[in-house]
Amino acid sequence: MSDVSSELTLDNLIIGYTAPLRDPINVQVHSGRILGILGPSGCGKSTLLSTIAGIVPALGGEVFLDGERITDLRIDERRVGVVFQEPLLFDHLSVADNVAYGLRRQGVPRSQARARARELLTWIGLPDFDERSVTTLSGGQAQRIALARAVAPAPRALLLDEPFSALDAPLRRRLALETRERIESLGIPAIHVTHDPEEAALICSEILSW
Amino acid sequence: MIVRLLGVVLCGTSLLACTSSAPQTAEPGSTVRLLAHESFLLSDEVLASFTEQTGIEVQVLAGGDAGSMVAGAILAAGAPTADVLFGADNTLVQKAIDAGVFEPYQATDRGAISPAITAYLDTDAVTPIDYGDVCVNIDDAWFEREGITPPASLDDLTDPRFRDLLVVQDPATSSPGLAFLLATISRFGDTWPDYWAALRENGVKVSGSWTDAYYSDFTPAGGERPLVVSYATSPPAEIVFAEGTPPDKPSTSVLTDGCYRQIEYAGVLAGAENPAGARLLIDWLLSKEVQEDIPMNMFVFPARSDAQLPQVFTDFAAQVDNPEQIPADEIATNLDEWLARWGEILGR
Amino acid sequence: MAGPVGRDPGALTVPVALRYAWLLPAAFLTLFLLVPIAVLIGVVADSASLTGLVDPGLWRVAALATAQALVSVLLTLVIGIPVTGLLYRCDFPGRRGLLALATVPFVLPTVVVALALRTLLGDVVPQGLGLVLIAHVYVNLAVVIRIVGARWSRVDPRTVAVARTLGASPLTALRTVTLPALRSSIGAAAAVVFVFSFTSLGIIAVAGDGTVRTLESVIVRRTAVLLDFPGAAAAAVLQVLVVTLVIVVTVRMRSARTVGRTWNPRPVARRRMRFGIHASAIAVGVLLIAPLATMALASVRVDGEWTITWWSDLLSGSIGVGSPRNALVRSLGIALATGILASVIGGLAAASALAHRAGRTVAGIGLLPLGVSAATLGVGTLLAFGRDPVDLRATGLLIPIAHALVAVPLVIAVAAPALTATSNQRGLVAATLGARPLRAWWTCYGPVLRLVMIAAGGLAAAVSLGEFGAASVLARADSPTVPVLIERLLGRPGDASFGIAACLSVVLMAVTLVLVGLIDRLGRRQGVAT
Repeated sequence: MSDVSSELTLDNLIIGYTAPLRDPINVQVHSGRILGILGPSGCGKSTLLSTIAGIVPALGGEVFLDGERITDLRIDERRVGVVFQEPLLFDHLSVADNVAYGLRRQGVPRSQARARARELLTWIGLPDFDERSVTTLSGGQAQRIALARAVAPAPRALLLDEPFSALDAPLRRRLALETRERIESLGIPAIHVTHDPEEAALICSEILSW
Repeated sequence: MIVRLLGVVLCGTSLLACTSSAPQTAEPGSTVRLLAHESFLLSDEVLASFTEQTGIEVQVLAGGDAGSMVAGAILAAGAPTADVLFGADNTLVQKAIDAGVFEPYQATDRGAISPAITAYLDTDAVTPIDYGDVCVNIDDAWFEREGITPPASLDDLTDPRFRDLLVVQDPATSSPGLAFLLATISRFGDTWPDYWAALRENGVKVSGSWTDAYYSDFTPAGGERPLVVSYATSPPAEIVFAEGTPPDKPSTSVLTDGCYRQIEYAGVLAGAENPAGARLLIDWLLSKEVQEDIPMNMFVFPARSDAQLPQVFTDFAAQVDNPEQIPADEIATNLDEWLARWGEILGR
Repeated sequence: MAGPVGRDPGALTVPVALRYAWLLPAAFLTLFLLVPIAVLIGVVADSASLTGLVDPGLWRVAALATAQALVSVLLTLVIGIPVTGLLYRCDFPGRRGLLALATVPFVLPTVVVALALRTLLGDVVPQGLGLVLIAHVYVNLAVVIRIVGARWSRVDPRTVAVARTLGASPLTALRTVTLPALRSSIGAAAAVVFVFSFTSLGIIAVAGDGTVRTLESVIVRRTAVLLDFPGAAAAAVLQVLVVTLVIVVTVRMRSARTVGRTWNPRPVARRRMRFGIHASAIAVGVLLIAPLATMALASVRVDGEWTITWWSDLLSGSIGVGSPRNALVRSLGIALATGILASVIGGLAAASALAHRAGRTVAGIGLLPLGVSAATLGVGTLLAFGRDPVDLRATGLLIPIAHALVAVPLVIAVAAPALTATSNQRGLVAATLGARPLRAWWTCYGPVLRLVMIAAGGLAAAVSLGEFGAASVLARADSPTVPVLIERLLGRPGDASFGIAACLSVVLMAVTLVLVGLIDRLGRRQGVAT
């Protein structure tokens, strides 16, 4: 255990909706590290991410982030970023406003938030996309923007739920590598869930098989 | 000749009334339809007497309030839904006559009608049946409890002392409501809109019908208004309909200033299916038996001068010496405009 | 002769009969819709009454009615959007039942609804603007629920989850993610609620106090009470102008995009929230049922005791203001005639719209009555066919005709989409097997057309049963329809009048509910949306 302050800890976490899906989970992810969870669909990977994010309540056990117990916090209080399988961009907002969304919720003034959004768009390689409409984007572009949106409000952890499964192979490889670089540069713990072993090998520092 | 005989024989054996262009005697077994407003009422025995005397059934059709009923009759002129129309009063009747609603008929007992009544409208199109004076009724008991002196004139009604105390009826649908409006027009002439604006300022309530106003809004009935437009004969009615022992005298009285004399007419409808039966019905309405039954049922005065009045009427019905009146043709010409103007002032 | 037409790759030959099917609806609409409208315009254009259009009193009524309608829209949205969220995003036992219940007030006769609310709330909310607004919300809730709900079920709930992870509280997520997605459906619902509230009549008559007016109530008053036909026509024209304006603006605003999949409501995870959801659902259910239960109760009580007097009076025959039993029979007969007439005319129009442009034009004209209120149709019909030279009053056909006009747009609106959504494959197969054009066409479209005509005809009958505007204008003194009779009964004091009005209301409620229930079951079984 190196840096206690930037750490995601799952302590006997029991996930499920009405009945437990698996045995209690014990896991620690340090900052800048990406834990991969590899398994077939239906084994509970997505449920785990939803539970950590707070979308689904835990049936038992605890979640700690940066030493703080977040098990009972509301979703919007946890500051855990999520990138889903589909981009799920807000189609009534422009690309820049999508990325700026989390910052606006933190009270950052609009012009400042949009400026930060433009920085992030450059960071993900889409510098002139700020005023584009979401409906005109390709799959890969949309997923990258979803990633930018998730990291914009400086989350304390990042969860990725098979974000590249809907893309074709070459794109998937490229984005996987880029994402790994970016997460490591952010210095936060991350969990990446996938059913594709190759993708897991590319991105993750360690892999759990379910 | 032979055709006429055949017609009579055929008609005589069928229950349906036959129509033919020539006047005919009304056949027993037929039905005559009487379209009356909602306040029409006679004793059951008296109603039955018509059938006993003529063998003709009477079917009473409810026409709603007088205003709507006459409007409907005008719309249906020439193709009426009844044989006799009862309840067109002197405020509305000229309009109906001009629209060709009625077929003229002179009732047999026409001579027995009070001359003052026939003098108002001299025509064969309709026959006067009863009359009443529309006046503001006062709940004396309420005023006594509150320690306020009741109003004594039309002008008083706009006085802030009597704020929110008066309820009137919509003149477009209610005949006493219209009568009251005409009384104010007769009294105030061209400044009548100002009077009504002042009434409105003073919180006058407009009810849709007389029954609503008298039986819901008037204070003796549990309402909140101790002043209501009604009839000079309403106080006697109070005695008659009292539950338990009747009081010695009515707790309501009448504002004799600004009363309007309302005469109600009956007429044979042009194009009726049973005109002969209709004529018999009109004669019967003017008969002494019916005329003496009217006061205690409809609380108005009979048109016949020789009809005997019940005791409670002679004791308690207010005498109105100089009621307001406007000539029938003047009403017919201006009524639409007056109603529209009134509607504007009162926001209806 | 018959020619090929259609968008599908194979084209189905149009049978000869269908070529001319548009003639009957065209004749009906020209005669009974366009002629009365022309007569109305003629009456207004007549120089003496062109002034009727610029009458400031009339514009004042229009302004007041607009204000009232806007407030109605606001209240209905404020209450309706949360209820829609409850019904379309959360799952709980009885959800489907509650959804059906919420639609009920909309299909009931407005006179009945107004009476029910008046009876329930009479001591707390007197007749007047307040009660009218409550009634408008109660009736139009279903509009918001259906229109906004249909769109809400297409909003990906995961976008809401995303917003939450980005730091949005539940309310903020609603405001910044969900509501913007619902914007166009909210606009459409608002427009519909506006038009219904603006042209309201039955509710104004029964829940109002005489000072609350709409142009529709002015039309009826001027026609049936004041006999001021030029004035009535002026009010009618003004109202048509306003409604047309609203419809045009709405159609322009609508986004053309139809979104793909729907998401089913999910059960709520958190226990505390679940309790809140269930409690809200029960509260909504109680509020919806209360007025109706009150009417049912009122029909069997007098002076605080149980009684069947009112029901026996109803069935036995006459009371002072006309025979309720005859009125019931009459209304049911008119409803039946309307159902048949509207479904035939509308069905033919929709079928011929499939075939060629003339048919599409006719179907378009058939939608016109939507912008023309029922009372306007009543007055126009009265002026065109209720007096010399053409006087049909004695035939008793005027009301069914007016009702059919009101209902034809509904039939077309249901039939046309169903027909265009039907693929012509079956017909093509039948044709290759040797079927003649008419037979092939019927094999293809027949089942859908038949189903839709029955369903829409039932809907037309339900509309006719509760229709109040045209009937107020056209009903003769001695032969009112049930809604008109109910209104008359309410003008008289006494327990008997009210008791019988309550019984009549219960009958109307029951028949309407049965009709709509059958239509719904029919539609769902065949997958046709009504």
